[in-house]
Amino acid sequence: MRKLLIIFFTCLLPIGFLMGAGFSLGEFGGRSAAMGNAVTAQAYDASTLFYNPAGLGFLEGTQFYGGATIIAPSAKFVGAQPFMDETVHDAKEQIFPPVGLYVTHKFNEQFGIGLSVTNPFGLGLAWEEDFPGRAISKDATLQTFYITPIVAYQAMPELSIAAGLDVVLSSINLKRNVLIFNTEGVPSTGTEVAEAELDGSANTALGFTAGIMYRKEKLGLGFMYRHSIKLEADDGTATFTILDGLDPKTAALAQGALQDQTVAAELNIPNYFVAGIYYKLTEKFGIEFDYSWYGWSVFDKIDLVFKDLGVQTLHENYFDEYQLRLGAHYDINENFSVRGGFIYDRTPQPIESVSPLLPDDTRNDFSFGLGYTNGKFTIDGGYMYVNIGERTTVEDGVGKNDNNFNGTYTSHAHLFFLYLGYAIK
Amino acid sequence: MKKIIIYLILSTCLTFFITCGLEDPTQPTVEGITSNQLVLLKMVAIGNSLTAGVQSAGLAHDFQVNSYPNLIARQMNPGNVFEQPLIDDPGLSNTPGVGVLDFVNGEIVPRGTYTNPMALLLNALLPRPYDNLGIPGANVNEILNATSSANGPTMTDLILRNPNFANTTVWEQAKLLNPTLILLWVGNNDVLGAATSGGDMDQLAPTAQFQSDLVTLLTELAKIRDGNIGIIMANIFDVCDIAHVNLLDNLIYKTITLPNVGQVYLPVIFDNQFQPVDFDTTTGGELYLPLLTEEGILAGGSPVEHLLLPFLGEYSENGLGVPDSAALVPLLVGSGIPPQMAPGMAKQLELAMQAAGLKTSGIPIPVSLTLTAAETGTIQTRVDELNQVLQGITSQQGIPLVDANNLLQQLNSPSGYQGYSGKFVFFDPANTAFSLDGIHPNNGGYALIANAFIEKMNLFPDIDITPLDPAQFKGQYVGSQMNKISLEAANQVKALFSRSKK
Repeated sequence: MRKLLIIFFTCLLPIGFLMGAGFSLGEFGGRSAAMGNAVTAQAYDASTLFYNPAGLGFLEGTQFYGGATIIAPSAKFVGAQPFMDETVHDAKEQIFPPVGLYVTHKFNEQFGIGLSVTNPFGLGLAWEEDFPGRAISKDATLQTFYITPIVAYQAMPELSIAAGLDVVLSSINLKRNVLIFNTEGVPSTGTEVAEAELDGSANTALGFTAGIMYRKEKLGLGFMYRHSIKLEADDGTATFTILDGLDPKTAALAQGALQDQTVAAELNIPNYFVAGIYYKLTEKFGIEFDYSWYGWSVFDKIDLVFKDLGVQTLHENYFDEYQLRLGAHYDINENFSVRGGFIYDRTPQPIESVSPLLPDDTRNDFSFGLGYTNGKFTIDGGYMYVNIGERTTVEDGVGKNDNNFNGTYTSHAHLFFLYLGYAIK
Repeated sequence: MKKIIIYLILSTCLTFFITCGLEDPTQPTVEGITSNQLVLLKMVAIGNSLTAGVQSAGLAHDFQVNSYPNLIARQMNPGNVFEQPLIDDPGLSNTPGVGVLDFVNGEIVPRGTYTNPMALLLNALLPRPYDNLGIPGANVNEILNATSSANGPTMTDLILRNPNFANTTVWEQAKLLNPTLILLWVGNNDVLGAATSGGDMDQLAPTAQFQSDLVTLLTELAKIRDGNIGIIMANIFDVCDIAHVNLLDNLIYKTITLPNVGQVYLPVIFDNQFQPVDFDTTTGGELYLPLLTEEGILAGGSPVEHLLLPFLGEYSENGLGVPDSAALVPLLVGSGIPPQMAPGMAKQLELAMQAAGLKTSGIPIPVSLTLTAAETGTIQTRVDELNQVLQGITSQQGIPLVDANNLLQQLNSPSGYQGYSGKFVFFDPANTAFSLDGIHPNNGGYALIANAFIEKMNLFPDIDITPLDPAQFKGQYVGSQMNKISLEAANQVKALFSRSKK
């Protein structure tokens, strides 16, 4: 059943890469994303289940909200001189359409329930076949699916609290070429013999989320927390495809050493909290400022435990970091609203682990969008430009990458989002 | 109007961002290394015992740290990873169960014994081929083709570790490592066996075969990194001018006048200080007794030019080559003593030799322990031919060639080379460049060779490796007054390059 669920969600919700520092994602609502995700102290639609579940207490009736974000990322790499030439390598063009699906129902003045499906952590980055770092990563995909039932309690008209259970399904797929007999720490040694594909679905993991929101006529205060998750995939498979063109002895060596086998993987997803303050400056214009903190230090490594090949550890050693979010909306009239936002998102990735698997950097995200409401129906659309910029693993003339694969990456992404809502009040 | 302005602003923003192309990243530069210096990134050494770091008749970890490739690797960068098949004590020699040679109380003796050679391999589980792929005893053909001790020298299994590496050869294992630089010193074993066997010319590699094998080997190595690889080679020693062969030259030779032959230059009976013994007790006279040899002038052939090191063990232990009275009689008669007087004089001389501490075996030195002038000439001619092949191929392919033979000649010159001499350890323990087997260099000798390679490496653009200070390698045998090699040790040295026909 769990696999079926994963297949279902994999088809529906392939998620993207590089939208939040590390491998976090934050764009799960049309209005929210347009406001730079700075909505922790607001409750306008059912996507509040993701941004601050306590917002559920302020929603009325039964509401449906859902949509997708089309993510078009780009990344480039050039290797460090003198080890590599000046060729610029492009990542494969990929499109990721993560979605957020929500339903809420308010039973009475105090209690409400909701259900959300989001994927707040994930990554996907694929490189071309001739990419020089293909022995580190050719194609990496991590997908998480948070299915979150939530209960909210409105203790006072101005105050709501909520908590929910995160049921997390996930899968991981890593492809890279296998290098044998390389000399540790010395780039470009050894012999490339096979492509390895590691594929696995993690055991269902449980976490929780909670929030509190205070709203007055003009002021909103919000705080939400999402707990960390440990993803454990016990029954993954490692499949090895011997490369064409090897001489017979090398092929025999590879075949002897690289038998298809089971692999277990384990990695930690960080906890995070967001605190926000919203103020409605005029009847039509409101702004919010959020501070979010991610406990990325739990993402210290990925252990890959092969049945026959032993343990391989990918060292990540992330550190805790924060985001600053600023969002604003201007309601042109009762139907139309325009929004804008900015996110300053600090990378948690140390220079040593910047690699083809995930070349991260501090980003500046610019977003804007439009909303249209007509009775029960709502439509929110918008755009976000994620400027990740340039990150190099060479510092003061010294190559710092753990694998001695040094160079500079540039990356950015265009996000287009469209969400629809329907409210029965 | 307000709506239109807002929409225009949003449209402009959207257009602006969407048209933002991703800029190409700026190529960074890792400092401290130039593209020309990349050749030093990954070094692999291919060869025989000289590459493996053999000293004193075998491989042992304390010798291997001073192998010339390892010395170079350390000099390139002290943190360099250069993996060798390190052998635990007592070391491995070609004599099954017996370790390398040491000197104890002035005598060269085996360091110890072992039962399982594979158990001595300290880093047997290294999950890749070794960077030092020197196989003691390997000739060029074996470096090209051998995959195990069944079709190669005894230590092939230990170094190549097949079938774990899919029965790959030396060059195939080197290729798997994908090196940027290969140090290649081969060919000595294509001639050495002829010298150390006392002139078994079957052990001389045919020049054409040597050339063919070498070209094939270089062709395969040149395919690594699509030809973007550095190779440095060294030529072949004059194997008749190494300490193992020339240690007694001149020292124990005397000119003797024989009535029917004339003046001949022969090795004679000598004492434990390697001084010829004069058995004439009369004033002004001298009587040197020639050693018995199976070949040489007295046997009607080419004169014995060299007595090989293993002979010393047999000489001191069993009196090999020392004539008894029966053997002396024809010698005395041949030198003009009346036949009727010869037996009596022979007996007196035998008693005199015994009184001098010599064992009078009457057994001539076998041909396997002597090299005649003719044999020496044949071997040296082949060395020259093979070195010409090496010179031609390396010159044609632009491969720097270390003149190891010239280094040996300088060592053997009266002034020596950089404070070192080519003498056997008995005769110059403080300065010798040879180890206890007289064939392989000692720590200092390997340092000299490393410097010769470094000199060639420094010809590459941007390469400037600091040479080793050879003086720092001196003192390996200081404090020992060695003048004796045990019979066991001598046999071990003898076995070092005895090659079975495969």
